Amino acid sequence: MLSYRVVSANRAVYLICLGLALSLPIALSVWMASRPLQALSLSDYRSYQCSSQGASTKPTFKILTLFYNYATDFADYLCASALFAKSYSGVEIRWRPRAYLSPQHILDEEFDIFWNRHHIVAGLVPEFSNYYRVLQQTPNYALYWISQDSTPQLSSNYLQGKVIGFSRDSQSQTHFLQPMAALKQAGINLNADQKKFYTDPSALYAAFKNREVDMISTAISQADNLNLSTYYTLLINPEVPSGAWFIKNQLHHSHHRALECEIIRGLQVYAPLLAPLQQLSAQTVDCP
Amino acid sequence: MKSRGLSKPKWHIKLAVVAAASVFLIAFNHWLSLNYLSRSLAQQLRETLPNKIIEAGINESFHDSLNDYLVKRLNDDFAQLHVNSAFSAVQQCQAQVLRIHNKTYADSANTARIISLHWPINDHIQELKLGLACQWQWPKLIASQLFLSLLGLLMWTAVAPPLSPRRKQLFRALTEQGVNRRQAEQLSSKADDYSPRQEQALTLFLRSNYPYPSHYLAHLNTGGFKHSSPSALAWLEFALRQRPKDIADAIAIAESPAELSLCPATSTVIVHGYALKMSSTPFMYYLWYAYRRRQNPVDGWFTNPPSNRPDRRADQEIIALMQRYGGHAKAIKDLSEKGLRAKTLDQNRSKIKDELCQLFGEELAAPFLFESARDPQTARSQYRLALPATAISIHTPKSTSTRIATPSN
Repeated sequence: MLSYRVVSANRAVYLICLGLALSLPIALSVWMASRPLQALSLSDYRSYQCSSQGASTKPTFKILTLFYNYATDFADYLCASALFAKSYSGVEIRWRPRAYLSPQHILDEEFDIFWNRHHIVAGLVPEFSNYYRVLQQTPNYALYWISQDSTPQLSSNYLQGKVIGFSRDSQSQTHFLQPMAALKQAGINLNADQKKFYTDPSALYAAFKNREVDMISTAISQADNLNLSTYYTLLINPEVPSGAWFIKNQLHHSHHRALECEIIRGLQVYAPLLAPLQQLSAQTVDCP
Repeated sequence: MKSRGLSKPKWHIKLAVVAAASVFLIAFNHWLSLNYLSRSLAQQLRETLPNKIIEAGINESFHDSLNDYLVKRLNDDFAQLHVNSAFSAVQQCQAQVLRIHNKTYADSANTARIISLHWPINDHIQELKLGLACQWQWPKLIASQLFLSLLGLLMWTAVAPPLSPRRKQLFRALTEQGVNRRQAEQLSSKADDYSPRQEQALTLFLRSNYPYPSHYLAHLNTGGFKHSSPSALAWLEFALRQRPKDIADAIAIAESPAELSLCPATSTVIVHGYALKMSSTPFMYYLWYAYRRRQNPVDGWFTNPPSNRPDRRADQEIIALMQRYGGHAKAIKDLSEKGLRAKTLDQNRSKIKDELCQLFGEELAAPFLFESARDPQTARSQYRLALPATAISIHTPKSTSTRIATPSN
């Protein structure tokens, strides 16, 4: 093949050259095969965006809520609204832990509407009424201890060897603050191994169903969704305030009445969640 | 000089090797790329994705619809994965969610690799299974691996194994002769495979300092002297000394059969292919013994006549030969007067031996000389040519007769 060949000096050099002839193509192929993927940027899975018919020059309507459920439905309703399109180019809804809301968010009026508990908002910015007003109260609810095996009792005897499930979110009324307060009131001091903490209610309910915990606190409506054959309850608090939707003051004006009503209509998507709760949502706006 | 017969199969073998190597490299690259990309993706995702999934599920009571939402968002994010390099044969990849939060969304039918992410949460291990699939730029893949195969082949053939000292010597001798490098390599390439006889022949050739080694190497490479006898090599040594400039002739002499040929017309004998002009009278006696041996293939002995009674019949035969082919008058006269005496025979055989040995040396000449025995009947010595009758030929210009003409008989 070649008219001129390089003659090797000795056998070792010859074998090395042959080895190189074999290994170099393989090494280059390996190098080719090891080219890394472009850095992947993952989007934010805790938010949802949709566009309305409105011109892109118009601002985006920003909503802050607590969880995913019905969030996209709510946003989609607003995006589909012709009335909405007159003022906004689209909707961005995000769901975050309760502690996410900061004083700066309130002072900057970062969100057009947000949901949270009254005492939290007041705690962040006592004069929050300068910036936000309540659009719609979500109903109070009754909170219960539930157990699959026997009627819960707040006594050291009963609780011995039992595990109670809580939420990791220490601002959660339902799964942390209320039950902890109830235990304190009953004078119960749980050991570390009697308490288990979960990142979200879904995990808490799953653990309860699997009997990884013996007792949890929840509203009856949620308990019914667990499809347990039987469960036992103990009332903790008959009237736990849930919270409210707060709306930016700028939007809470008479000439924005139609917009507000449209938002309230959009909030109807949450009806399945709230329907089991006896009280109706109280709103501060008169809408047709 | 070109070994045509050898180059054709070599070309086919090289093509087959390149093809096989390319196929292997293509498959290897394909397999390795997928492995690496899936690991690379897993590594990128492992750090951030589990947290993002946990955070998306915050405050969620039931994960079912969230799962569907997550799967859609993840699939959108994984729809177009690119490789950062122009050297990769991968055009584009995509990943899709196969399984999340214990719910299966797709099977692994169209996936090349499965990526599994696990993270401990809420006293359980959560699993996310992704299926990776890639599209390839096949022309690029094939061309690149083919190129690498060719590169490997080029490197393999560019290096020749180290030459043995013998081959180095020959190579140098050939290039000094003026032979080009490629031919020199070709000619000297067989030197390591020579049989012991060929080795010996080569040594003799080299020692002769013949200026065109390509000539005798060509002969050796086509099998010359492979199984030759020691005597042939001895003859080669002699011939190279005698014919240092004519290698073809030297080879012809060495490879010549051990035969004796006599040419009475020129008083020349051809011994093992080498012509030697002899003195007239010893030649005649050589010729006569030759005739005797040819006429009596089995026997051929001639017993020396007793000292007191010279042979009066055989002498006629010799005289006839001498007369026919111009022998010396003195020798003829001697014979006709005194008859064939044992002394004459002994003397002439001795002269024949001298002439042959002087040129060829004792060892080479021996088979062409005489053997002796004792006649059982008369207890006198008898002699004949040592060669068998079939190895002796006599060149008579006109007649093809092999019988000695005698006036009487």
